[in-house]
Amino acid sequence: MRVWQVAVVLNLTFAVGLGLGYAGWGRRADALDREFEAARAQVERLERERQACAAGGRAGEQQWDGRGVVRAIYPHLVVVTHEEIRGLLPARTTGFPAASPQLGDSVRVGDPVRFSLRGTLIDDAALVTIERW
Amino acid sequence: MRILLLTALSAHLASSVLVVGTFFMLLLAGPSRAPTARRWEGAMVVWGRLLLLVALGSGIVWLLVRTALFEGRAQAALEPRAVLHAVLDTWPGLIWLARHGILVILAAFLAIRSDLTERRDWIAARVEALALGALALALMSASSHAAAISPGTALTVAIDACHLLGTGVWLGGLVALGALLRAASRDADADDRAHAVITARRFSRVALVAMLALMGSGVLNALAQVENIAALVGTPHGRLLLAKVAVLVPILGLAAVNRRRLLPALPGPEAMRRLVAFVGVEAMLALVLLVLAAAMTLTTPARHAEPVWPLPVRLSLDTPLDGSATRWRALLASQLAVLGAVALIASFFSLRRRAPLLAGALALAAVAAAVGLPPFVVDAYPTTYRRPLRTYHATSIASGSAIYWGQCAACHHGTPADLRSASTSRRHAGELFWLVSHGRPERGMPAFENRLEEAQRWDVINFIRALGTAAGSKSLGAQVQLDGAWLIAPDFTIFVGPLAPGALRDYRGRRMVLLVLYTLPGSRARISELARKYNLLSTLGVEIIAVPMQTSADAIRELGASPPVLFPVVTDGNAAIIATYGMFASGPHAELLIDRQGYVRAIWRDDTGEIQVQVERLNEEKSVPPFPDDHVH
Amino acid sequence: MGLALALATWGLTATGASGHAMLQRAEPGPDSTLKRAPDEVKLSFTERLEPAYSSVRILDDRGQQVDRRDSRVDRANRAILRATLPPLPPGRYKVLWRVLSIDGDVTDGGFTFRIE
Repeated sequence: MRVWQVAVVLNLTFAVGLGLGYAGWGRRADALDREFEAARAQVERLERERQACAAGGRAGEQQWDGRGVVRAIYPHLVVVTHEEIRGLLPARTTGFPAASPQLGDSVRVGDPVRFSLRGTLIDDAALVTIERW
Repeated sequence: MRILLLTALSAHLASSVLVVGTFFMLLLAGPSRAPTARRWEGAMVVWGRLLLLVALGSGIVWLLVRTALFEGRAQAALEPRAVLHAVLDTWPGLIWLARHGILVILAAFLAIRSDLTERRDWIAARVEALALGALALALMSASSHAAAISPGTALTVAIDACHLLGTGVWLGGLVALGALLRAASRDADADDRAHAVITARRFSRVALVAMLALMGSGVLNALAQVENIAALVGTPHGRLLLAKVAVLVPILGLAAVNRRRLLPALPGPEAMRRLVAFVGVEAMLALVLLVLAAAMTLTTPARHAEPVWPLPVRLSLDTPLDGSATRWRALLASQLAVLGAVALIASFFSLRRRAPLLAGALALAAVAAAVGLPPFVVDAYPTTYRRPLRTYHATSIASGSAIYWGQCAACHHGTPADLRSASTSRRHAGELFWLVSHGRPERGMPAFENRLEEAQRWDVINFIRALGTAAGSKSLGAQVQLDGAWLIAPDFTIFVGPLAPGALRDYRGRRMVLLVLYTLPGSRARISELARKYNLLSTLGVEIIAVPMQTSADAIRELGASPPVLFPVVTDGNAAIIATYGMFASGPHAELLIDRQGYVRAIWRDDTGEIQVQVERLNEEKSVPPFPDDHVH
Repeated sequence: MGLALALATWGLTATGASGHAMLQRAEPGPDSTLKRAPDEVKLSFTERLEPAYSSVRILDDRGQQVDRRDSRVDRANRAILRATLPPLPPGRYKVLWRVLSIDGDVTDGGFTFRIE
């Protein structure tokens, strides 16, 4: 083979190799990342559903745990300043509907508490347990 | 270990650069039938193969030493598993692999003994070799300091690659050119002089472009990595850069002589021999430059290192021009400088009077500097440009306040006007640090180096800074001054019960903060009013943070349940916040409005005002002040 | 050439401990005192990190490692290093980190925090 032919073949091999590498691994790496994140979120959601089920919830309900400080107590609503509730809310102050009117009797305004919520989404997540922390 | 790393890296860098230059020169010289030229070509190809071996070998040594550094153990250099981990699982490792793969392919390509009589073959061989060598060299930028800059990584890496390729073309070319000229200058090979001279002229033109690209990309690189004069003069990275520039000056001088005097005088044998000698010296100096560049790769970039100012003085451009004497001096100096610039420009145009015009320009510049600069020269110390160890945070300021009142107030008679003055605020934090550490014997101030820890001294500096701003904060009232943000709000930690604490800094760029310092029972009515308005203010972008003057774990309960108070109430760390913000507004109840950028814009002392109106005014502000730094200056 | 090496070595050694990725922010903060045990330790650095050689350990008073040994570089922001913690009893804890920045230099450091 002439030298110039060798050079052309070499360059083509380079280009094809790089292209194949990107197609084979580069794009797949991005897709795998996204799949991984989706799978992780799915696993966490299933874990919450399992917890809810074990504690007597209905089908499709999830259970979230959180820590916070009580700010206001009403028979059907408890307002809590809480840390991030993973899979539900960032750290903020939220009013949660109480599953039963006696729930707020065991705590007072200003108490640090651990609590758990049950529901299918934030819109119907209700406070099911609350205790001094 | 670092010496070994530096040597390996220098050898690798030098050989990679020389490979590019050699093949570039081969291409530039063009195919030739003269026996001298062919002998030179053969010698260059052999030289290229040798360089590749050196590059591959030193590259492997470099990899082994880096593996040892990554792992933190010297034995790791010889463990195959550790080396593979370093190569395959890190970005610098992958770049190393790509580059050495390309070098191996190039070596294989060069190993083919082939017939290059046909022009097409000759061009293909030379271009391919150059392309592979250049690619291997340019990829080095992808794992250099340039790659660590974000955002704008792609551009910075491209500029660095341009710098590397310029070096390859110019430095590598110099060595090859020197060899060609030496071969052609021997009397026995006079047949090839013409070819050598043509090549030298071509190289001179290309070298000019390469030099400009080198210097341009070098300046841009420096701007990215070295952000100010202090970093340039006070850090090892910056000083290496200065050394590089210093070595560059004689190189440029030699290059100018070559171009101006010697090239036109070719092909005379005397000029030829002198050119060979000068090119040789240029090449040697350029190799010194390479070693310095390799050392720069191994040092912390100047923007991240702590500068140590080496001179006893510095220029301070914010010295006020008070006093008519200073103003006259500045005026006179600027006029002289303009005259000097005119003389400089004139010297470019006039051929006969160039030397005297140039001398005159320099003299005028010197006189201008001597007249105009002295008012701007102030004392400087090694720590003048150091970044403070402690951020501008309420705990630091409160701690500094306690230390000040304990150890400094006695001699300073409380907080005197000079400590609160604008001139003290103009001094750099590092200057104050030096003065506190080493004292001022001539004024009777002792050195606190041994009495106070370094962190404590920085606390005192933060306190003095806060003191300076407190004096000016009297001008802040219940009305927001639009486009007038200057009072930096010290950061503080927000503890609400035992939850993970937040900080004032978290609201930067997101929400305004109304800081309410309150005392019960006096503030109860106002807190209730704010609690009722909280929703509206929140929608307008305000977060309210209430800090009781007395620390109490029960603060939330004490505020009562009706109306419910839903904004953050600080239950711990109150003392520091009160001590700090009390400097701006004392009294049992005070409210401060902090904007989204972190500046205090309005203060209500002992009276409460229409918060909403001021919030709306702030929302209407068009030009936003820049974020203040976490550390004082 | 000898001069060049000497110049360069002076430049290098004058740095002392050189490294490129510096700790910018830490949660929990250095020398801080917390009322309750934190869930995780989060460290922010000035440059992006190489996951293969960046790790953090949290030790208690007696030098035992108390974190869940899951220190990792955050996927979304490559300049953040985190490790989760089990519920910790009150006491002093030491955070020791060692990172490799994307331009190939190693930095390490540590700080302490207390849980009441």
